Amino acid sequence: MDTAQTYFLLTILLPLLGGMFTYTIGGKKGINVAVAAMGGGFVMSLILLLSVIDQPWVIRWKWVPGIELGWNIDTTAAVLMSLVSFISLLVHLFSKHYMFGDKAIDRYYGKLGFFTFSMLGLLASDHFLLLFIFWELVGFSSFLLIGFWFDDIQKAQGARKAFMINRVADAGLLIGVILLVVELDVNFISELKEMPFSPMLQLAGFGLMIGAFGKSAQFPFFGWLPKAMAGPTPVSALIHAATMVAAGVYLLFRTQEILTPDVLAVTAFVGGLTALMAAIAALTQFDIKKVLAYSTISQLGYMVMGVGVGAYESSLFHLWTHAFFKAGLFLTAGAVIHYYHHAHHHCHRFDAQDMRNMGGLRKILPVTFIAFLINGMALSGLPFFSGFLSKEGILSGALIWAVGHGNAVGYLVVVMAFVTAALTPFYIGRQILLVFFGESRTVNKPVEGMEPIFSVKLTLLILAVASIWIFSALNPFDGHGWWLGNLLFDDHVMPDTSHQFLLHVTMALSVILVISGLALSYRKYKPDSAVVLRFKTKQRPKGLLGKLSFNAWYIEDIYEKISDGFLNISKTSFQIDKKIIDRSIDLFGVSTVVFAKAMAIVDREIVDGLVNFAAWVSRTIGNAYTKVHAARVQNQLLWLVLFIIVIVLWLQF
Amino acid sequence: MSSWLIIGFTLVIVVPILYMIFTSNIIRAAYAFTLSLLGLAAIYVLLKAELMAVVQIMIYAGGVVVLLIFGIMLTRRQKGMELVTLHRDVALGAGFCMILYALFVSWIGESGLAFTEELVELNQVKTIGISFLTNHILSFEIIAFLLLVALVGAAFLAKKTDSI
Amino acid sequence: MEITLTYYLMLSAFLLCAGLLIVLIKKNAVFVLLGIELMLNAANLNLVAFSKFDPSLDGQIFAIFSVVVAAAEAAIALAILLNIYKTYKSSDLDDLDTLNY
Repeated sequence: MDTAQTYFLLTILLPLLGGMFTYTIGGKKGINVAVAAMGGGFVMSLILLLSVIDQPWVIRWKWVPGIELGWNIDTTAAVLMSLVSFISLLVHLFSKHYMFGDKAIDRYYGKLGFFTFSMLGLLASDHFLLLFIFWELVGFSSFLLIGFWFDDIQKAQGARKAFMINRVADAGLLIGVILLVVELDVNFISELKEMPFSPMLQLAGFGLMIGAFGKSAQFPFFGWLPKAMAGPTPVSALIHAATMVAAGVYLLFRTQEILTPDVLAVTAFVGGLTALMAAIAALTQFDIKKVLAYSTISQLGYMVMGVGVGAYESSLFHLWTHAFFKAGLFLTAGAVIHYYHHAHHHCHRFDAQDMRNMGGLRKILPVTFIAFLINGMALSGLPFFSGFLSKEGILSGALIWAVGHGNAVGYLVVVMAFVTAALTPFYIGRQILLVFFGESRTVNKPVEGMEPIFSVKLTLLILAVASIWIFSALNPFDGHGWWLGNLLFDDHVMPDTSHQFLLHVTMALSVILVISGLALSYRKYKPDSAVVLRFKTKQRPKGLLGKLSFNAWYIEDIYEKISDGFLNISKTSFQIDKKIIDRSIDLFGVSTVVFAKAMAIVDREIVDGLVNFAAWVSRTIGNAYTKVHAARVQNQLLWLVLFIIVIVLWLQF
Repeated sequence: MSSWLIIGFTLVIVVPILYMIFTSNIIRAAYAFTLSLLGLAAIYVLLKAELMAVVQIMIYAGGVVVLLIFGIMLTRRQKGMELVTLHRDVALGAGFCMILYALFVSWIGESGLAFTEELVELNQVKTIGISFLTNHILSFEIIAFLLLVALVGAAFLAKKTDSI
Repeated sequence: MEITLTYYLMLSAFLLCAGLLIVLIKKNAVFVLLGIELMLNAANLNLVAFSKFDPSLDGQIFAIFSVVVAAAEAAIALAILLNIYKTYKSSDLDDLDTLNY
């Protein structure tokens, strides 16, 4: 076993073992073990990253004759693995505070470890089958985590729905993988290269795309992400912001060589559409986590669109920065929710996630406020924050792509992207103003110990600091200046200078849009404004656009309708089944029984007779032989004497 | 004279042995066995092997038979019952043994080992004693050790334990 | 009537076959032991008879060894018998069939 293999195994197994250990010994005793193991896993992932910089580490082994499986860890995988380990470590830390007092905290940590293991395995797998296995493991472990509070029937249902929608999309991935492995004989992700166009390749590409859309919550699958908010908030930070939803983007990024132009165009369009739809949906939500969920979908739309328009590195860059600031946003939201839970724990009907009950929190949770502010600015794409840099790359990539193609759909994608860029600061500004500024719309009483240094302040501040531009690129206005980019992409080239004008246009436009979006949100939701004063009693929006936004384009109702339709089809076919098919089967069954009865007679009389005869023969022989062989000393002596006589006679004559 | 004596003692050996074969009473068989051992001792004397005769009487008739009789008594099932045993496979056993005896007789007859020149040996005991401690010293030591081990082992095996 | 070595060998063979017969047909373990002793005596008689014609007297010496071994064997065998009797409550050799199953 070489060193890289050791590092790799430690990286992916330490979180799992730590979690399993905690779960095994039970109670609160093992939490620190899980956190420590996760820390060890993070350190190992860094060492792994260092050891694969020069030479990607590839291992293949024979699974069954004819099928080889394999791991491949190049710098991209290693960077993402350390990212996942890092976020997971922070979530482990934060959960110590957030989940404190939960009865099943040992199970929680076991599930966290399992999820981290699956996600790391997904990033490292090279063979498509292995990828699919870990893809499903990730889905399953996220189902476990979302349904963590399964004694609440609604949360359990939410987990089930999220899982089922994922499964529908996974069918697409499965089709793609089977087509690739069986029909096109493409096995290893690291060996992908450009292939001549064929319908099969097109189909496989669409399959992979659908799978990626499912995991990354793109239209029409994005309904599962708000459902997944039923899980504990740190879980949302880990799974639904930083890691699992990025798997789809990662898959598209990895398979970019074999995606056909049609697939890429659809990807770009759906990405842009999802970004816009989710951003609109985020505008009117009351639930603090749902705003973040839709904003996640919107940002994922950006990434998918980035892959579609060919700005792969910007997509990966955005994945990187988004992981930090969105995890930070979710964790701060978790801190807010946790505070309201404790401040109002005597009131059972109180909804700790409803922004109508919040306000003025900046005095009570100052560190949380600062972290939320920085991460929110990064999300909105304000210059000097990390989100600006990566979003810049995607927007300019989309613009260059549209100009290059010059068709209407391309420009439509660009328009959707820029509208989203204006909506994002608006809804995040609205959220910051509603939650942290102004006066409280309920009673805000100080609760002791809401921001413990180690598990909350440190975690939140690390994530906030990581969202400042300097940790992503030196030049705050260079969307392609990601310092990890040089490491990840050998052919890292600046966009050619003919597009310099477009880059400047993009930058100017996006800065203007961000600032105007923020200004607009401040104008509407500034403290003491009429909207804010009436916000506590605000009901659901009445207008058409408002309804569409609040219900997220009714996508979940469409799911319901579709599943009802399927249910009806099933019922109808059940009736058909019962009336026609069952009868004929019954008839067939009866004739079979008659035939079997006849056969039974034959069987009993002839076959059994033969068998019994054989048994009788062997029993008789056996009995006779037993007499010879019996454990009677004197019998054996008798035979001994007989054989002495025989031998003597033999020798004599 | 000597011939008649030998034949007479042969009868003393053979008749109790035949009685042993036909009886089913163990204790009587043991006494018959003693009698035949004494007859053997007499034969040894007539073969001019006085030391062997003494050993036969002391060890066999005095030691082994006493041991056997104790064994018989210790494995008796019930008080007051006759110590009888059953026979098994009489026909087969008798047949085989008769065949074997016939074979032996025919061999002995054919072999012609009919030595007649007897060696007159004086001071047999002294000669035997000297060769025990010279020519056969190793065998002597080994047999002594074997006897010791056997006696210790017998004592251990017969020890009253619950777990054997 | 001349008594030759053949006579003693015949007698010895008779003792051996009688001992064997007893070993084969008696059910009681102690009786079987008696038979074994008889067979050993047959060997002794042979040795002593041969040594009558041998000046080195090795036959007698080995006969004495054989007597000693027979004594040791009898002691061990009886000890084993007692244990068997304790365990199986029987001294019948046909009852010792645990290994048969």
